[in-house]
Amino acid sequence: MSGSAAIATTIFGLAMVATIAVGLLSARGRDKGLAEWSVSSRGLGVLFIWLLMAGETYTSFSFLGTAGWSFSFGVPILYLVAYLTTGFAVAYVVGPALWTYASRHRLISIADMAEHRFRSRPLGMLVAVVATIFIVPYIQVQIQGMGVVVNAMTYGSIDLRVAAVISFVVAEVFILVSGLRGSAWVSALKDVLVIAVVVFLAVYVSMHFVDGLGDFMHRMVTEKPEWLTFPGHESDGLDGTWFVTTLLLNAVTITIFPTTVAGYLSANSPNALRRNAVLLPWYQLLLFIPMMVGATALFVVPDLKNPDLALFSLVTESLPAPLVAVIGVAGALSAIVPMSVFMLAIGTLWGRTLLGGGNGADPRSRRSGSAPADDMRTKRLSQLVCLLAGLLALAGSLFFPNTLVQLSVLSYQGLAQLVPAVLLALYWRRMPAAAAVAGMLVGLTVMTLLWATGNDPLNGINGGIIALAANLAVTGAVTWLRPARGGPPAVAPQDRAPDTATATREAK
Amino acid sequence: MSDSRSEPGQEEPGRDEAGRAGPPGAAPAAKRRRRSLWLLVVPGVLYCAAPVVANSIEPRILGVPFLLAWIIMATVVSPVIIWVAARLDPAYRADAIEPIPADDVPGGAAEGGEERGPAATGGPA
Repeated sequence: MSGSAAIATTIFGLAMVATIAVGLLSARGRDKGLAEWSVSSRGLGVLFIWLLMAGETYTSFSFLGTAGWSFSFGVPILYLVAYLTTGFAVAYVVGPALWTYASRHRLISIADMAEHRFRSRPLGMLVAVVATIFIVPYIQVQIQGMGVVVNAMTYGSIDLRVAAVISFVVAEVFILVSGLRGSAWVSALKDVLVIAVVVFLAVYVSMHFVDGLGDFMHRMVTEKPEWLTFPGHESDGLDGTWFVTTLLLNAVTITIFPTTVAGYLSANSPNALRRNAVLLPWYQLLLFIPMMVGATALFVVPDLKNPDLALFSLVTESLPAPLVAVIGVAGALSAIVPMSVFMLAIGTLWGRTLLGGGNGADPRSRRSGSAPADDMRTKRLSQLVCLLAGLLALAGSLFFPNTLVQLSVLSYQGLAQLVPAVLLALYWRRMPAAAAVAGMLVGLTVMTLLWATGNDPLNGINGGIIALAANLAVTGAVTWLRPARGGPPAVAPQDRAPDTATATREAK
Repeated sequence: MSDSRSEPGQEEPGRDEAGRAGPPGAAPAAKRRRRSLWLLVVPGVLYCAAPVVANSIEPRILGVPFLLAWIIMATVVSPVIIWVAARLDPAYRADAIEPIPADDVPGGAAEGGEERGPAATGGPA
């Protein structure tokens, strides 16, 4: 092991120990129940919500894929900034809406909410299973991303697979013990590092490899004009239509991502979420930097074989080992934080709705889950699933590195098919469970067919948005064709109880 | 039968909502017109317009190709627009909950979170 590699490996090791320490410390003196673990007892203020949700949006994809797309295709990568920012405008309304519904009825996940809204546990289970199918590949992408980052930052001395196992262990240790609050605290560490690293890269890369930003832009325009307008360079269909349809689909879908919803539900007031919709878009400006770095790599390492390494190849080539290590740690934490929230989200989806007997809203199910003992049992089940989901993704990344990752391409399209059941249902009283199920299944089928036959995107239109249109059409048709029954059945008395005081006071 | 023990935070929304809903007699915040929310479509419109009206390198703004300059402009303008929408939103000023149309008792108010109908006013839990 060379001197540089030894320094980088040591710094990486220390950073991982610090991460575990911060994650574990966050749980001290906190409640031990399910609601603390899965949604931080709905007690996070503006600052921690911001840290957590910023942590979720800036993933290892930002360091690897963002620079890689910029290097390979050019402007199509701008869809990332476009949908995230548009998504925050949508989240201004959707975040507080989901928060209101969930905190009023003490719900902890989108499956829990669907079960309660339709008084149907099978529908909740369907939501949980569909969401899981499209999230597990995402965990694997983060684990593999972490492997690539750590391998690059230690100059190859830590093997890809070893790095994958380390990331899994670190993330599981603090998420199992501390739950979402652990992720929020680690996110604080991560966000500070990411902001410092990205600002540094913006200055350093533009001074060292090109003669300032003006020169960079000039060289892009004169030498690589193809990268600067849609459809980009050899992007295989990533044109303007694709950009618009993808940004619209993703902007709505990200607001019901189980991980985003975990963040929403942990807020202590609706305004904590509304303020975040104002503040978080500023964070997206940081995403322009890896894009610039990726494009700079076009002039420095034009023959790069793995575009995902566009950023790290520039960094390891020119910077001293300690700085490389710090940048690598920022990249590694950018994998660990989202990974931990994804694992927690799956645990929460399964723990109550699938394994814990549901939330009691379904008249057909009898749940005794109101006793503290049941709460602990549900939490244990959630933690178990959180661990198993992580293990599954880890096994995938070690043994089938390419299979699941292909599925992650479909994550947004798949989760988009849950939008009618989870979100529209809160605004459309008449929608029955049958309509939600029929729409969802049709949407998933259309999406899978388009993808399997190689028709995604179809003439530039994102396959997910076509599937969502079919989904909405079926949902609407089934709703209107069924005789109106006046919306969801009357609510059970115990369910109303916490609201009563509010309602009386408000009526005055 | 209530599992409030397991979730200490669950009383929060009720208190906020009632405690800061404005002076007595005023319309509850969530019920007031929230026209400023229409501003929230502006970010989406700006980005969607990019490939249509800005898909070119020239004119360059301070050396930045036009398409990229447009996207950067949209990314800077969007948070400002969302901020204006929030400032003009009565629900934001009152820290009010969001109305959930499907969550009201049939026969009660058609929308808005503040009327639960007769079933809800039956006294404390």
